Amino acid sequence: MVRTLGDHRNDILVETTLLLLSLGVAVWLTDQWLPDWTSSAPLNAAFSITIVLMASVVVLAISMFILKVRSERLLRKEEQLRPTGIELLTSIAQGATADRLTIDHLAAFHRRSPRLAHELLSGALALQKGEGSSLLAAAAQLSGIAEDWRRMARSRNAEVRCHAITYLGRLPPGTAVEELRYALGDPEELVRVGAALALINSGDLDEIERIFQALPRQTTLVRALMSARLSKHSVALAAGPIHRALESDDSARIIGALDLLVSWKRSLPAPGVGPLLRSKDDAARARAFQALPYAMGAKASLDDFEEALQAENNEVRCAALSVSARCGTPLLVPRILTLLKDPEPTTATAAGYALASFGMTRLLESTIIEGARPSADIAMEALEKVRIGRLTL
Amino acid sequence: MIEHSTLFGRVFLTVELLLIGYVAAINLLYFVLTIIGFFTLQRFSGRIFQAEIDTLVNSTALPGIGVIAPAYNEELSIRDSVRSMLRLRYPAHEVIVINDGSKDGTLAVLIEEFRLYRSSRVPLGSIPTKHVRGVYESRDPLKLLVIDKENGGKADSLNAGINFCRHPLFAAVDSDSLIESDALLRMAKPFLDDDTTIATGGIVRVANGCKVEGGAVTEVRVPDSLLARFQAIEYLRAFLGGRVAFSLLNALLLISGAFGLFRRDVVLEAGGFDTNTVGEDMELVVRLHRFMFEKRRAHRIVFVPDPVCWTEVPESVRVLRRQRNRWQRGSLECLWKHRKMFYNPRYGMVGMLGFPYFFFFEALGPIVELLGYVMTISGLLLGLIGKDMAILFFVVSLLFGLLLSLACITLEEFTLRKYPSVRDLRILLGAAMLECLGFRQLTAVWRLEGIIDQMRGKTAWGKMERRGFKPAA
Repeated sequence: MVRTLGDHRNDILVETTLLLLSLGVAVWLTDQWLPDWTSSAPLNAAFSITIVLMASVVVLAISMFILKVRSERLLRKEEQLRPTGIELLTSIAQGATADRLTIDHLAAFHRRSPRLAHELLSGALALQKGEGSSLLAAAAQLSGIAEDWRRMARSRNAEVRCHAITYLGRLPPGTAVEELRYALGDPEELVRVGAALALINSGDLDEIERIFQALPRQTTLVRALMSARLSKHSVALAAGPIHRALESDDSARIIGALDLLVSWKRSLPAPGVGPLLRSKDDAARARAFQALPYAMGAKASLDDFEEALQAENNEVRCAALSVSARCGTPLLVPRILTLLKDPEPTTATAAGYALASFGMTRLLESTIIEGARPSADIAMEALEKVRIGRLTL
Repeated sequence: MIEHSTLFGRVFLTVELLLIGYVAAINLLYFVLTIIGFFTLQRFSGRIFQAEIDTLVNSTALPGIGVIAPAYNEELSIRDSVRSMLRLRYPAHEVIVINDGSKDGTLAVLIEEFRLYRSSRVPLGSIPTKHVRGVYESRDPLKLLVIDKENGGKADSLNAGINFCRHPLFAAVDSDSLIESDALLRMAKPFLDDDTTIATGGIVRVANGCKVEGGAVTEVRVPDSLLARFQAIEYLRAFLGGRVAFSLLNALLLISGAFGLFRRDVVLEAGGFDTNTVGEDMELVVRLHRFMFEKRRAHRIVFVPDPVCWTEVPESVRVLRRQRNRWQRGSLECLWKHRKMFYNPRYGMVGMLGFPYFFFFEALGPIVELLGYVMTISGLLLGLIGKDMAILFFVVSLLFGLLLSLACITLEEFTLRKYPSVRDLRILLGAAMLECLGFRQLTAVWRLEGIIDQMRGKTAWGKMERRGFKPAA
């Protein structure tokens, strides 16, 4: 168990007294030993700087202890209040006592411990669905907690804004749209992400499309976070925004849309992927091949594969190889066999796995017998993976 | 009184003043770096919340990571270490253990515990390494690869791991360090934020005294032994002060060997870890900077101010002495090998700031510090310098150092708050006060020995003895 500062009050008192006493003794000794020390300029400078620094550190250390004490007290108080808060919110969510008195209790609870009230109410909102959620949201409005969140969303402190956006995002759809839209332009990335995630959860397709349009300009981290949340709306997105993005001339939008298709790993109508298999942009072309297994209605010809397997770009060759067995034809096997000797080891390995996926075990065995390295080693690895049923690179 | 009458007296006084200036400069610089670190750690930007981590853990859009852990004679601990690494929260990571010619049953334990079979996996990288005797994978659905090779040292093992790694990123870890479960995600964040990031390192904390359960730290406590407490202070000073600030200036020269994350393609291009040095971690980071500057490619090497890794520090003077000796030799080797970068504007802030800092304050530090003590005491005894000058030297060297340590503990409490109890905080403050009275001077002596050994051409690593982590009650 962690002991609190209160438990050490006497120790601290003794330590402080000892520290002050030793400081006094040090000053007295210095004065005795070096009576004219104040006349030495460098020594004065050093002592002055040290005193300034020491004062700063002492102030910091004292603040640290005060903060520690206050945070410990706050935590203890919150722990005591927590069961009351949970009980109060449960009764509100169940609608049993959603009267003025309960709301007054909630408002009083909020005044006593705002942080705990925010945490518990937003947690309850995240857990509740349907009527329970509406009752809690109404209680948040009536008790002034929702207004507090709106105020926090305009705070100068990014962390406070981020928490506020998370809380507001848990209110039922349509309740805090203005604040969330405003937060999309926040200078802080995490606030923007929080707002976007909340708007995605609201299910409003216009908002979702707006967020989708902004995705290509975001970092990989934001795109990864968004793609996970957007997967709930993948069908609606594939029908409209993704379709339009794939047909656009904007490379970033195309890559953004293809990345989403690849990350969702779900079959969706995306005929626009077909023409991209011949794109001049290697990054888009490679991603188009990766998205091909999930793109319903996308047409891939033998020539598309043949050309991709001969592409100069290694990423394009590997992407085409990785889907060749699922989306190509066995007519590609001779070309893939030549790639088994590709000087780029990632391409050669992908070729081995592609041959194994086509079920070309005889070809792989004969490559092993030929013994030319590293093709034989790659063929051996691919065969082994087939036998243990783990043929994924 | 100061003796100005003889030439020797005047020279002595000048040197003494220069030494005082040097010691004051080094302490003030550390203090400034700590203040920069404080403001950086206070910033909200760059953080990642638990909710985001929970979403990212299931994402398919993150780059894969190979966690490379060299192991030598670790049959007692390897089982727990591997289990802990397999449990790391990341959507696509593979653990690659390299049995570096262990003489005990490390490989046998791994084969039995994780149901390994001899695999035909082909290396995709071509960094030269000692002969690989065999590659093993698990029959179970575990992302685990074990490479059995002839003994070649840590750098050679890491190179073998890089060759077999098939992910865009790899983490170089010590198999006996404890990694926080979200560490990979936190360390990968700079790579996801900025495409030019080529390496990241995080805060390494002292695990001595902490309670450990199932390969994870379950209760953070300060170490029981005084020696380990002093090192806990040192680690705080090094990580919270210097590295945060140097990362901000893109002049970071060192990512701890205990845990660093790198872009595999760049490390392969740069030639992997240097097997002919005892400081392979620093050497790689410096070489990556040099390589990228010479190729005129934008790059960032980032320090992640999150505690990501816990390591056991030596509790015996003998082992600590060997470790400090090796660190000093490693730094000197690296500085000498890449001396071309010294004050060379072609290498940006690394050449103009990071390199000179390391040379003047880290490499020369022990010589100047010890010379200062010797000259001050002898000068006082011989009457060549006055009492005020002697006091001045001890004020700038001891009091400034003490203030610095106190500032770092305060910084830790204001930002990371890893030590939960007031008792721990008091112990750390006490240790900080004692640390500058003996321990710091002792480490300066060991580092001086390292400089002498380096000049003599000593290349041995020295054996690290570990007591093992304290299990949870």
